[in-house]
Amino acid sequence: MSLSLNGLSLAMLYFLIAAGFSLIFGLMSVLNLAHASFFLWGAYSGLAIFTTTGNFTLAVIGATIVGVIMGLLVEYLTLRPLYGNHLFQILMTLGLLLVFEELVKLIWGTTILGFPRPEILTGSLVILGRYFPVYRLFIIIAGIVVFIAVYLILNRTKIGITVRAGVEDEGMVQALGIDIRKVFSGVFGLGAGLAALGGVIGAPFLGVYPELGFEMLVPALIVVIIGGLGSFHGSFVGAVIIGLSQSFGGYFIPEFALAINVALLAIVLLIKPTGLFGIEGGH
Amino acid sequence: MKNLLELENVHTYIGQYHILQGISMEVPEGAVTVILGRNGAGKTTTLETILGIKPPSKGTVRFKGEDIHKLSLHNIVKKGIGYVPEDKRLFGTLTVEENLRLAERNKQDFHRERRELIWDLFPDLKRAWKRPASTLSGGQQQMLSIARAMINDNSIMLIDEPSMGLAPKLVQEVMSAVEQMKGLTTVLMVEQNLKVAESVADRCYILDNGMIVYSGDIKELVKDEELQNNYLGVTV
Ligand SMILES: Nc1ncnc2c1ncn2[C@@H]1O[C@H](COP(=O)(O)OP(=O)(O)OP(=O)(O)O)[C@@H](O)[C@H]1O
Ligand SMILES: [Mg+2]
Repeated sequence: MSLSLNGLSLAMLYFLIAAGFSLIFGLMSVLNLAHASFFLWGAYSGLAIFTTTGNFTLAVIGATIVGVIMGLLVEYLTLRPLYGNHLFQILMTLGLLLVFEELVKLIWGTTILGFPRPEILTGSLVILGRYFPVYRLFIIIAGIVVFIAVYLILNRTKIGITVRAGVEDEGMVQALGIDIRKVFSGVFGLGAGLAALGGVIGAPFLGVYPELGFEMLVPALIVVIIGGLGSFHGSFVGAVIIGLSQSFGGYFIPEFALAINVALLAIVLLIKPTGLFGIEGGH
Repeated sequence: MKNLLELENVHTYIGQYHILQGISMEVPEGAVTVILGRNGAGKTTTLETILGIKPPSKGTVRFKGEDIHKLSLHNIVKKGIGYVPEDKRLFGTLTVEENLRLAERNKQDFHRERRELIWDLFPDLKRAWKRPASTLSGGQQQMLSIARAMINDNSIMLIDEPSMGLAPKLVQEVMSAVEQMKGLTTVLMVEQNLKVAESVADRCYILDNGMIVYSGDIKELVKDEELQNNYLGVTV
């Protein structure tokens, strides 16, 4: 029980990274390796805000905004000139991943920093005679709320419909008179914001250290591929699968936790090469 | 009659290939103009050049008296152009309703009226309103592609081979939709089938190897078998 709770909270953090990662790839064919940096910077900037103000809500909002701004800048300054050039994009985003990590070391040093849990989110809830750590429940609820909110935006609003259409055929979206670049920027900003949100709410659970971004990148990539590149709900389902497998695998056979995830990935790809919810012929 | 759209000595390259080699064309307002020509003649490229999907390297494209060939695709479309591409290019995971909603760029009231018109014209679409476009039949997809261009108050519709791959009964249905558009907007349509073209067109152009080899009244072309043999494929 505690393992599945642990796995689900990990899953929500993976989901918050993977969602934007997947949409950005689906829409712009950009494999943004620097996406994990938004998670990293969400954790650090959230910690900085929390230590100065003591207000956790403010830290969560502030870190998310930091992520959105970073995302918009990265898209506008470094990726926009490179659309269509996949090799340079990968090199660019890999470079950015390293730069953002070095910047963290420069500003905050290399030691692991603790992120104290806010008062009301400490302790455990007793439900039906079992103990549930409040903070893990908080992460799970936050992840589900974000999932539902973004799901509704994607399915009910015109902006959401535009994003889904863009994943299928961005050229035709433009041929309907829509400026796809604005859509790109919006999705990039939103995706980065979600990753940073994951960083700040994950920090009290994972700790805050410079390699955090890179460590989250690999499972997030696996999640995105299992769920299907470009599929939002796929990233949620993929995250739950990987979160649980990570948690159970890590508990029973820690040496094989990554191997189990890679095996899961291989099985999914054998059965359905586009991932569980991927659509054919996107890019 | 005033010309709504004019092409003047337009050249377009795809990569290193010189596809359109100096095309001039006039599309009069309120009429149906048809482009005919063999496979690979450059018909689709002509429409894509007008839209800015394949911008011309030389020459001018004038729409409502304004040069548009330097604008980008979405800005050109917003001037009032509806596009029905050759391969339909619907969004398969979006429902019929979402496909239309995505295309809407005018005032809400206008779209409400147009939806009614579309429902009258294509009752199938009304029945499939909440279904993903990928589940529609080929004919229904063509209807939706046309409806998507009709949902806006466009001044011109660029329609690329709407009859392609459709059964005769469906071709008729699609052509009666084009007939309906006549009263609402100007039409520039690519059509390989001369019989189909004749049923709706006022004027026509024949393209061959990226050049215009005939322009005039479609009635004259129907009578001129030599011209047909020279420039139109076996589809006639
Ligand atoms: N991506 C491309 N690369 C190279 N040549 C191309 C490309 N796309 C089209 N062409 C060439 O451009 C020419 C014109 O193509 P276009 O699609 O405009 O013809 P079309 O008249 O619409 O033909 P169809 O009746 O088959 O639709 C053809 O000879 C085609 O081979
Ligand atoms: Mg064509």
